[in-house]
Amino acid sequence: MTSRDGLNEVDQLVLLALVRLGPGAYGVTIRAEIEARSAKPISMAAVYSALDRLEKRELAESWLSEPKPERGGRAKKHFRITAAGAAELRDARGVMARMWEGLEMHPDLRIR
Amino acid sequence: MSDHRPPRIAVWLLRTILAQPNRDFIIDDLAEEFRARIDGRGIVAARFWFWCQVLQSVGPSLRSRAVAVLALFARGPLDLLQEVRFVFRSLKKSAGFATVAIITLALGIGANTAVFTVVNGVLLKPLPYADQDRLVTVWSAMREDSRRFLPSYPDYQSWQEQTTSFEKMAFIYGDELVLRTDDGLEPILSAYVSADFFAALGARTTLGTPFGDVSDGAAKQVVLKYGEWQRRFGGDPDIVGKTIQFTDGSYTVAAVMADGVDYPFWARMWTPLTPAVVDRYGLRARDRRIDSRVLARVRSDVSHDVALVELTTVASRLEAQYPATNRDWTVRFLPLKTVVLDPWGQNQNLRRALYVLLAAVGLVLLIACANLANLMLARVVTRGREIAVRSALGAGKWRLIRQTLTESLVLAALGAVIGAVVARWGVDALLAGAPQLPRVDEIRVDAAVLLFTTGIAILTAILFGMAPALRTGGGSLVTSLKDGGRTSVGRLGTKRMQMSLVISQIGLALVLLIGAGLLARSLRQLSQVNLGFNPDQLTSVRIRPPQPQYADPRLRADLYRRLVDAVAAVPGIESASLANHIPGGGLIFSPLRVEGVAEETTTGFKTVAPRYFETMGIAVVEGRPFTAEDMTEQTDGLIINRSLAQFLDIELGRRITVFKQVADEGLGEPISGQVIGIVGATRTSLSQEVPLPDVFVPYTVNPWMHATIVTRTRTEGPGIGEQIRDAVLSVEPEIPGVQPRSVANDMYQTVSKERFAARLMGSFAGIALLLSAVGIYGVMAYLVRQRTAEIGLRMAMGATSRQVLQLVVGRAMWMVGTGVIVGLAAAFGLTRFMTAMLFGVETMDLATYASVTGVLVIVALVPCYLPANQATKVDPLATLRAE
Repeated sequence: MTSRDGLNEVDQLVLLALVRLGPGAYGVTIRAEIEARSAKPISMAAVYSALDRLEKRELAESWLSEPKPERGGRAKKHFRITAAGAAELRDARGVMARMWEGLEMHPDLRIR
Repeated sequence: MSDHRPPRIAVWLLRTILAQPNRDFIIDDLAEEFRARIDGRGIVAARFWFWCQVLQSVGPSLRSRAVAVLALFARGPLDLLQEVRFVFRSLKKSAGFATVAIITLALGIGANTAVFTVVNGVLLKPLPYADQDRLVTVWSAMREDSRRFLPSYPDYQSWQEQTTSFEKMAFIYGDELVLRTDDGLEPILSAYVSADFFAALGARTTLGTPFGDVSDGAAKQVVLKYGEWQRRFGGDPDIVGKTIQFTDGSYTVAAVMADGVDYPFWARMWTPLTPAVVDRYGLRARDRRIDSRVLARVRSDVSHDVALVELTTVASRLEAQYPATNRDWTVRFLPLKTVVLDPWGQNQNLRRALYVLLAAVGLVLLIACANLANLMLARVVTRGREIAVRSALGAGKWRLIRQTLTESLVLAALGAVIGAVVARWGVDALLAGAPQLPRVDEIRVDAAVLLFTTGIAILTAILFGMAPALRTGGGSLVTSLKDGGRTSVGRLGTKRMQMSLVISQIGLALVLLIGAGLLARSLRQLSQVNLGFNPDQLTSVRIRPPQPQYADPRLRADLYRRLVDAVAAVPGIESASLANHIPGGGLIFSPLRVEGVAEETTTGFKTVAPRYFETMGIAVVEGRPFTAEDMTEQTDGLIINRSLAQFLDIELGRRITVFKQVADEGLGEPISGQVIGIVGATRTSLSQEVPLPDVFVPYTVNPWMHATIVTRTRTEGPGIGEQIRDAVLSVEPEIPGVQPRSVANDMYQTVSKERFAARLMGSFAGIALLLSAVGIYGVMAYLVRQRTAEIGLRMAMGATSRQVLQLVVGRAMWMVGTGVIVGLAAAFGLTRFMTAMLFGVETMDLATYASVTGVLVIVALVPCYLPANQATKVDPLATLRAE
C-alpha cells in the first residue's frame, strides 16, 4: 500500500515526533514527546496503533535494539521515518498551509 | 521490589485485550515509564497513571472485539432478547397488571433487601480485623455467677506474664478527655490502651501509624476513629502530626484507623496507657475492677479451649496468692464479635430479634408472591385462547412455559431494580427509627446485599411464575379453542390452585399478625411497669467538675451544693437535687455489712443530696429522707431501699456499713450508720425485672468525681434546659459538656428496641393483611364472575339473594377458616423463636391469638362482601340468554 490516503492528526504527530527524536525514538519517548509538545494526553496504545498503521503504509520503519537488562532482557522496538513518510508529512503540511493561506488575520479567527 | 512492578491485574487486562502485534512492546514501554514515574512522583501517582493508560487502551480494543464476541454468542441472547421484547409487548398491553405486579415486587424485594442490609452489616460481615476469630475479650468472673465483670490492671498483667496461649494481650481503660472547641468544652470518651493493643487488634489504618509502646514523655498522642476524623476534622488528609487541644494539654494525632474499626465502641479515639496514666487512675489496686477491658489474640496453633484452661489455671494461682482481692474470682472468655454485638451483656437476643424480623419480612414477600401468582394465573386463563392459538401454530409446550417464566423474571427484575432504590431509602428509614445498633457504620448496600437481592428476585420469579407457567403448558388445546377461552376459565385445577394460594396467604398473614400482636402486648406491659419514680417533667444534667481544680473532695462537695442551689433558683423549677447516679444513668456497687447478718453482701451505692427522693418522686416508705443537716462529712444516718430491706429483713435503726467508692479519697474506708429511712425501690430501665438493692449516703460523705443534678419542673416548658445550663455555667464556666436531658425520654429509650421491633412487625403484619385482602378479593371476584351463569340459574329457579349471599360468603368463609387453622398451627410452632423478645407475655398468649384472629376474619370478610353483593344483583334473564 502506498500513500495518497492522507494522514490523520495522530499520524502526523507521531511522524513529527520520529523526526524530532531521531534514533532515540521508541514508544516511551514518542509518547512523552507528543504529550510534552502538544500538551494533549495520549495513550500508549494510540501511539502504537498509529505506528502500526504507518509501518504498514511504509511511512515509518522499525528496528529492534539490543536486549536490555532493565526490560527483563527484552528488546526495544525503535522507529524512524521513511522517505515516503517524509514526503507524506510535507504534503500534509502543504495542504494545511494552502488552507490557511490569507486566513491568519481573518476576523472569524480572532482570538477573543 | 514487587512494588516497582506495574499492577498485575492491569497488565493482565492489557495482555488479554490488546490485539495488536505490538502488544508486548506496549506493555514493556508502559512498564518502563511506570518505573520512571515512581521515582519522580511516587508509587500512587504511578499506579494511577498506569491504570489510566490501561483503561484508555482497553476502550477502543474492546469496541472492536465486542462485535466479534457478540456475533459468537448472539444466538442465545438474541433468542432471549426476542422473548423479553415479546414479554414487554404483552405487558404493555396489560399495563395495569404490570404496574401492580412491579410495585408489589419492588416493595417486597425492597423491604427484604433493607432488612437484610441491616442483618448483613450487623451480624454477617466479619469484623474488620485480621483473623477476627482469634480475637477474644477476657473478663473477670465470680464462680457460679454468669455475669461478666471488668478485669483489674494487675490481674491483666499477671495473665499476660503467666500465659503462653496468647500472641498479644492488651488492657483498655476508658475515660473522658475534655476538648477545647470554639463552642466551649466538650468531653470525649477515649480508650487508654496498652502497648500491644493495635498489634492485637490487627486492624488496618487509613493514615499514619498507631502508637505501640509509649513512654510517659510521649503519652500525649491520639489515634482517631474514622468517623471522628470525618465528622470533626472533615477527613483532613494531613491530620497526622497535627495537634488537638484538650484541657490537660495538646495531643498529637498519630493515626486514623480504617472505616469500621470501632473497638471499644464507646470510645471515639485511643490514647496510650502509660505508667503515669495507670497511677493517675489508681489502677494498680488488684480489686479495682472498673471501666476496663482486656483484649487478647489467641495464638493460631492454640484452641480457645486450651487458652481458657491455661488462663483459668493462672486465675486460681492468683486466687491463692492474693486471697484478699481474688477469692472466688476466675476468668471468662467471650469472642470479640459477641462483645461487639452485645457490649453490656444485655442484648443477647439481638441476633435472634434481627433474624425474626428478617423472617417476618420474608413472609411478607411470600404473601406478595401468592398474590402475584394469582394474578398471573388469572392472566394465563384469560389469555387461554391466545396461548391455544400459538400452541396450534406450533409453539412447543416448553416454549410456552419459558415465555411465562420469562414474564415473571422480567417482572421480578424490574421489581428488584426499583426495590434496590426502595431498599436504600428503607435502610435510612429503618436506622432512623431503630435503637442504637452495634456496627451501625457498617450497614450499607454492598456486593453481598446486591447478591441477596438478585437471589430473592430470581427465587421470587420462580415462586410466583411456576404455577402459572405449568398451567400454560398443561392446557387442553381443543377445549380452549373450541369455546373461545371462556369455559376453560372454570378449570378445576386453576381454581384449586388459586384457593390454596389464598389459604396460605391467610395463614402467613395470621402468623405475622400474631407476632406483631405479641410484641405490641409486650410493649404495653413494659410501658405499664412501675419504675418506682416519676420520670415525667424530670430533667437530669451530668456534671463533671474540671480537674485538677476540683481534685479536693471538699471543694467538689461545695461546688455540688452551690450548683444545686443555683439550679433550684431557676424559675419554673419545683425542686432540685443531686446524686452520683440516677436510675438508668450508671451504677456502682459497694460491699455491705449488716449488724446481725454474718455474711457480707453487695448493694448499689448512691450518694445523694437533700430532697433527692422528693425530686425523683420516690416514695419514703418508713422513717425520714435526708435533710440539709445530714450533709456532713461523717454521718450516722443511712437510707436503704425496700428491695434491700425486704431482702435482708432490715428495719429502721439497724446499723449497716458500706464502703467509700471514690478512688482518690480513701477507697474502701467504711461508712457506718443507722438506717433512718426506707424508700421505694427503683428500676434502672423499663425492661429490668427486679429492682436492685440500694444504700443511700449523703453526698458530702463521699463526694463523687461527677454528679447528676436532677430537677423537677412544674411544666415541661421549652427553654428550661437552656436555663438549667446557664445556671450551671454561671456557678462554674469550666464544666464541660453541660447537656440537660429529659429523664422520661431516656427511660423511653430503654425500650426503643422493643418499640422498634413491635412497630416493624406491626407494619409487616399490616402489609400482609392488606395483600391478603387484595388476594381474597381477587379470587372471590373471579369465582363470582365465573359462576354468574350458575347464580343466574339459581335465582331464576327462586333462590333469594340471601341464599346467594350465603353461597358466596360460605365459600369465602371456608377459605378463611382453613387459612386461620393453618396460620394458628404455624404460629404455635414459630412464635417460640420470639420468647426472648417478649416481656411479661407468653408466646401462647391466648388473648392475643383470639383477638388477632378476630381482626383477620373481619378484614377478610370485607373483600368477600363486594363480589358477593354483586352476585345478588345478577339478572337471571340476562345470564340465561347468554348461555
